[in-house]
Amino acid sequence: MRILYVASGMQIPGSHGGSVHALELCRALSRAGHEVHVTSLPPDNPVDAAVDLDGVLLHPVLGWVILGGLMTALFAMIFSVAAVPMAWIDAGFSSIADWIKTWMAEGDLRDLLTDGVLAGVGSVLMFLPQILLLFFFIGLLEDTGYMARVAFIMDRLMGLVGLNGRAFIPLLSSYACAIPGIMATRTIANPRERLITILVAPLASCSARLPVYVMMIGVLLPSGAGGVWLKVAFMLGLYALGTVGMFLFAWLFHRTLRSSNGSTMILELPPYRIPALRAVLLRLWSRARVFITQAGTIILVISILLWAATSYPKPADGDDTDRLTQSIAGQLGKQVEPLIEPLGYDWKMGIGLIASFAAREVFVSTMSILYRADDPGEEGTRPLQTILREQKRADGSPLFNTKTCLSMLVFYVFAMQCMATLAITRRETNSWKWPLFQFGYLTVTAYVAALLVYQGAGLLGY
Amino acid sequence: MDGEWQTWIALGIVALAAVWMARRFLGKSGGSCGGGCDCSGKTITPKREE
Repeated sequence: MRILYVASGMQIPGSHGGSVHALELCRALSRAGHEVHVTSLPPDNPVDAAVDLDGVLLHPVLGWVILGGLMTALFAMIFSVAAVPMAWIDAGFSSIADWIKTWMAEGDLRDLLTDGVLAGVGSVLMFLPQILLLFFFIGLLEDTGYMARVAFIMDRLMGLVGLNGRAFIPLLSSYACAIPGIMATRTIANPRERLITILVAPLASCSARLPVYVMMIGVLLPSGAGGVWLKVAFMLGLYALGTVGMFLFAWLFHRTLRSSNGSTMILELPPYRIPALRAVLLRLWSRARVFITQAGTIILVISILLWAATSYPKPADGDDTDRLTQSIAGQLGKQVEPLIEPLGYDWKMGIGLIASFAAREVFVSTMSILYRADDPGEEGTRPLQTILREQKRADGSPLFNTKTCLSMLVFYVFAMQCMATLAITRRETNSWKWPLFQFGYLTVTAYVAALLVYQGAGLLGY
Repeated sequence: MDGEWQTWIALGIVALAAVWMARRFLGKSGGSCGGGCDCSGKTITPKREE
């Protein structure tokens, strides 16, 4: 992989009095296996004070250690700091639901408001603090100029699997959402390399997976079980699994699609800066607004429809004990159940998988609506994770045991549960062949991986 | 009778939600992406560098 290094805001040795920083940077990149060509000579810029920083951050070993450390700190923050506002939001929605239950007479509208709207929207909005924290810290890292350094240390790995150096930015964007990531592949000139990047972009763990990950990790590891660090380790493992899958499939497609040799990457390394807090906060506000709007539209509507599917048709004899099984959702779920039973899932999870094809976090709201529908609610509205942990199979064993939780987590790492991504792939490739292939290979991978995890964990005695 | 008016209002809300959903997915947007992604409808001018 050849890199044309554009030194921005730095002086180049021998041209304008010399800059130790540029020289150190070129050496660091060479040590990391890049072929470095200095092409830009911006004159009259002050020598960057951060002489040794790039030597450390771009180091082939230390660079990865620092990146891993920063990610660990980020996820630890997400699990510890965000827990407080999450509990407030959860308690707030529960209080509103309990208040409606005491104020309104029993009936369908009351059920729709409490078991449909509040259970569905509330269960997703609860994750707003975690998503905001994630984007706040990524925004800070971007503004300091660190993310451009991450591009350099990732580039060597990307070259090994045949990914174009320019694929880094689209793939990095895909960790927020695959849609802008896929659209950003337009900067890749080689059509085959661009296609490979589009096909593997959904494997980056986007922020819509975060609520699913957090919910399932919370069910798997209740408070006090292993502490925050075990949850962080799980979260890092899931992101790493998605990334490894992305590189593995890129390598496979590179071999089968016979992509051309690696192209030149041109990447500008900005000077280190102190982040502008105002700019970071403005971007954060934009994210928050979009998330809240989405919860108020698509998730609200799906929650309403799902409530209807779980409530109608009503049992003719008025006996409510089997209401959910006889409902539209129940009957549909029972049809799907044989297909997902080997993964450890029941029909309610099957409905969740189908509904979350609209947007991944809908899985959380679906779980909230379906499992709360069977909860007697005598003690008021209880946390979803508590309800899930209490679910039993027909034989009396826990439904959400270790192997089911692991299987579900692995399924969501690989599954193509996003209609909008398929629509964008269709638009960007101008064909139905590639989105269908993308859906097929990711769904089969998710199914096989979840099956292996569930059955493998069973053999190991979990 | 008490619960009947609630059923009719609930069914009306469900019908509105179904119409909204049908319009959304039969329209051009092709669905919604998740996690606070603000990308729907956004276009990027193709930029090719040789």
